[in-house]
Amino acid sequence: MDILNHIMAALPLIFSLEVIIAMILGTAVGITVGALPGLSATMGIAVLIPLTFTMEPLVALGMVAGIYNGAMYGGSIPAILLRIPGTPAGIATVFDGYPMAQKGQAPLALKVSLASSAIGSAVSAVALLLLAPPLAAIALKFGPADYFWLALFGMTTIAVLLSNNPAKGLLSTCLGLVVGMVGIDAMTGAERFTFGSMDLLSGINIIVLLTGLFAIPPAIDLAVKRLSEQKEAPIDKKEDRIRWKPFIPVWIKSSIMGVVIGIIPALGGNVAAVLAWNEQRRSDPDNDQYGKGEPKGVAAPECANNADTAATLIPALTLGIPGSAVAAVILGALLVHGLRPGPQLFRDDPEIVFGFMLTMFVTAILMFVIGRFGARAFVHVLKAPTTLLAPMIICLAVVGIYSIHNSMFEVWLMLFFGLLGYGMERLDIPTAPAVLAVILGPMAEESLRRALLISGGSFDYLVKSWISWIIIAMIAMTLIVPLWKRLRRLQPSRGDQE
Amino acid sequence: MPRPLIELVCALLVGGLCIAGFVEATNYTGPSGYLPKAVTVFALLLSLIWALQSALSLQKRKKEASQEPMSLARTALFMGSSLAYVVAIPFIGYFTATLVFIPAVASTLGYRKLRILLGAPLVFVIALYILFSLVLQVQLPEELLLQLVGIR
Amino acid sequence: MKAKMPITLLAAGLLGATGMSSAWADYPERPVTMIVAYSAGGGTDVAARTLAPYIEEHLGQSITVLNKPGAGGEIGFTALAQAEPDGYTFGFINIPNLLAIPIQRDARYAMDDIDPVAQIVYDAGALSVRSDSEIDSLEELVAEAKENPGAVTYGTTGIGSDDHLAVLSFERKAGIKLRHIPFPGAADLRAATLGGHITMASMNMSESVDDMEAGNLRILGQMAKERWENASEVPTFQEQGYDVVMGSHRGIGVPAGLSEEVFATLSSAVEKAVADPEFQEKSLQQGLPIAYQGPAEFEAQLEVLNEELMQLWNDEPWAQTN
Repeated sequence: MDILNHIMAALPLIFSLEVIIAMILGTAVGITVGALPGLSATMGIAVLIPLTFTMEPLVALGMVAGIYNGAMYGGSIPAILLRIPGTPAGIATVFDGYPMAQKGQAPLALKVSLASSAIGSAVSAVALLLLAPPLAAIALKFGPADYFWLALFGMTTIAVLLSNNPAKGLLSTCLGLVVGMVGIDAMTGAERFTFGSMDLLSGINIIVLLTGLFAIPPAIDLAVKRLSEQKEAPIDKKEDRIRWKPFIPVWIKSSIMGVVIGIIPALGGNVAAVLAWNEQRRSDPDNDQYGKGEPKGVAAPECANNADTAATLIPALTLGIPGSAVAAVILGALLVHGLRPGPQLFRDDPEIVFGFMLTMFVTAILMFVIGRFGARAFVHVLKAPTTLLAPMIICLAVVGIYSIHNSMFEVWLMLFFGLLGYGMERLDIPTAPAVLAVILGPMAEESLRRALLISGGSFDYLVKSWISWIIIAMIAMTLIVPLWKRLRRLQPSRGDQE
Repeated sequence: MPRPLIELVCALLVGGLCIAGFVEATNYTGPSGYLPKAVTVFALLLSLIWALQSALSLQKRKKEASQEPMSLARTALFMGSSLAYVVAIPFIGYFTATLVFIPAVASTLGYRKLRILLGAPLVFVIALYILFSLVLQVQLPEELLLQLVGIR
Repeated sequence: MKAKMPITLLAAGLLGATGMSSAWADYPERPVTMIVAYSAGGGTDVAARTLAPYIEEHLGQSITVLNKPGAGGEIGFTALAQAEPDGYTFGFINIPNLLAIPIQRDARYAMDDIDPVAQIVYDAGALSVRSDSEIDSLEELVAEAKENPGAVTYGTTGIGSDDHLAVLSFERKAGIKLRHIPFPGAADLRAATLGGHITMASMNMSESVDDMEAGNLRILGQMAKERWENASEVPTFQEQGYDVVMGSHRGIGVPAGLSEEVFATLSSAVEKAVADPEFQEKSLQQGLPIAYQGPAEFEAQLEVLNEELMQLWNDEPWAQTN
């Protein structure tokens, strides 16, 4: 048991005082960064890298682990309390988290989210520690055709979000597709929908769109509420005892989904969360409750997006292939300390690699502890005077977006999407399909075209691998099963009429 | 204005944008043009359906309570001051603008507790300064406030 | 008392004047900004931030790194070109991106707006295949490509990247046609190559060498004048009869029009920083192929490269323009 020996050797290293302090600080910073709109784990880690130049590698990496795990959880806090997802991965949490808060179950939703996040992170860290090399092989199996089907599978989620008027929901999807096309086309180098603007050449950042569509409209709503109309948000005090047992199958399924999606390069926590929510909703017989404040609808995406964290590091550490922007930045942090990711890393510096993996596990637990204390404070956001809260949200969104690329242009773009989002809400056009289309649309288009380029234009290539077939089967199940159920429900009623 | 009429206008507006988008997309040659053309045409179709729906309901329904003028004024006020805030940032700096923006907006919206009105933004700005300038080391536009005091 | 006044004033004036003139010579007297045209945490950013403290040491001033990513580097290069030429703003420049952008579209900067100060890194291009591939050398690759024109696929890190331009140049010189599959970045490209989804990867040496050592990839050739010391067993393209020298250069540039003294101060600080043994050791750990070149040498090289790229573009544009 080579791995166990390495783990035992690394264990004492991470329980030094400096590493523990770094992990606590990192987790706290991570939760903060995740909770603020515009800021994400990628940005938090990227800007902290220079600060870690002078630190011991494990101190720096412990902090990185804390930020990564913390930020994934942090995104759910404003998603639940204000329906503003702090990170793109928090978007699925809004679906059920915000309705829960409106029903007065904000503390319960925060508890479910915290516990699910911590469990997801812990499962993911264990997978990373014990199974990294065999799981890494999965990452290489995925070809362009498989990515295409996977993106389509994600898009089926949109069908659920269409609201009662499909035309409007699909229109929102089209908006997302167009926004996703803006910039230089990666496959030919042609400029699309850039209108000669240099700032649009590299496309529209998903965080700019997300913050605009999701943070600005609630701020406007809060501002418009008159003081006399304001009532203290109802907060249930009774919900102290939660029955955790029904959540266990949700956690098992969602963490497996999160881990698998984490391993596949180019998919991140946002995709994991959306797919897990969709799958949870599909498999629950009582699926009418989803989107209206079902606690399991909070547990599934939060567990999945945190199960994605350590799993993303599996191909990153073992093969040197970072599966997401965060993983790429973490590789940068490793590089600064002279640790070159790839096969030789495990051979040359096993204590540090295994130490880093262990800190991913320990910070999952720390996150739970810090989150428990924090949750009491977070709920107070609901009691803040809305006339003060509204401008503060604007200020946070502005500084958060500015700090991504030091660009005022993106701040203006965010405000534009904010006004657009507000208009869409007033017209009952759902905004979530647009965000999903921006995440998945470019992936579907690019991988389809890449697959056809490789095959020389023949469509057979799309159905050649067994992975493709599995995903196609999953798509069929999500689309056909509900349809079939509805038909079965219709038939007897028709029989009655006759 | 009755709601269906607003929707009809919006739907036609979106339809117009789709046509403009399609015209733009015809410039894109080869494979990079397929999806833009397909999406804009599909969106045009959808916006026509939407326009039809609202035109039909315009006939059906007679009258509906329009938006309360008071809340419309508050919305416009909040949006306007937010835009002014962002315009001001490059000139007077982020933190200076924030210190003015929050109390100004909150008081015009009707918040009256003076101590919190001035104290909360100050605490908020200090927290932001610690996080963004000290911890994350973001290079924000230069501060008028600091220039006046003579630090920079 | 009264009589003394003018004298003190005069003295003060003199002091002030000397203070002024010494300020000229005392560049730099306030912090310097370094523009990095790529995102924080990326390869260029890490290299820049690793070097920055050593330049700080030899310049005697602190350096603030400002990331201005976007449009393949154009946003950052434009910011650099438009900065005040006073020595308080310099930037990291990536070649060939800096040269290729104005060739392939109407850029908001021109090559004349930026003066090169030093080349710091030269990361040669390389072609690599999976180690179970039947292709063993460039010669076999060319034979295979001639047999099945357009059937051999190669991946790059994107349209107009150094990897892409390098293969275009190779295709011309070998008289073959390969099929280009662009990927968003080196990570996706490596995954596709290791997974066997494409025949061959065009990646920089520093991105391929670890996989070669681990036995996953075989490097067919490196596009440098001389073999890189970390991979001395890999033959160059020139040795195999194809005159292709291309790769990714990273260096330092300033807005055109710096005064001579300031330019000299800055360039000597950069030279000393790169020569610093501590920096050398750090870059070795990170696998950065350091290759210092002074202003004149670097500029001459850029001109040659620019010429080649323009010719390449005129013969066969590598990107689609609307």
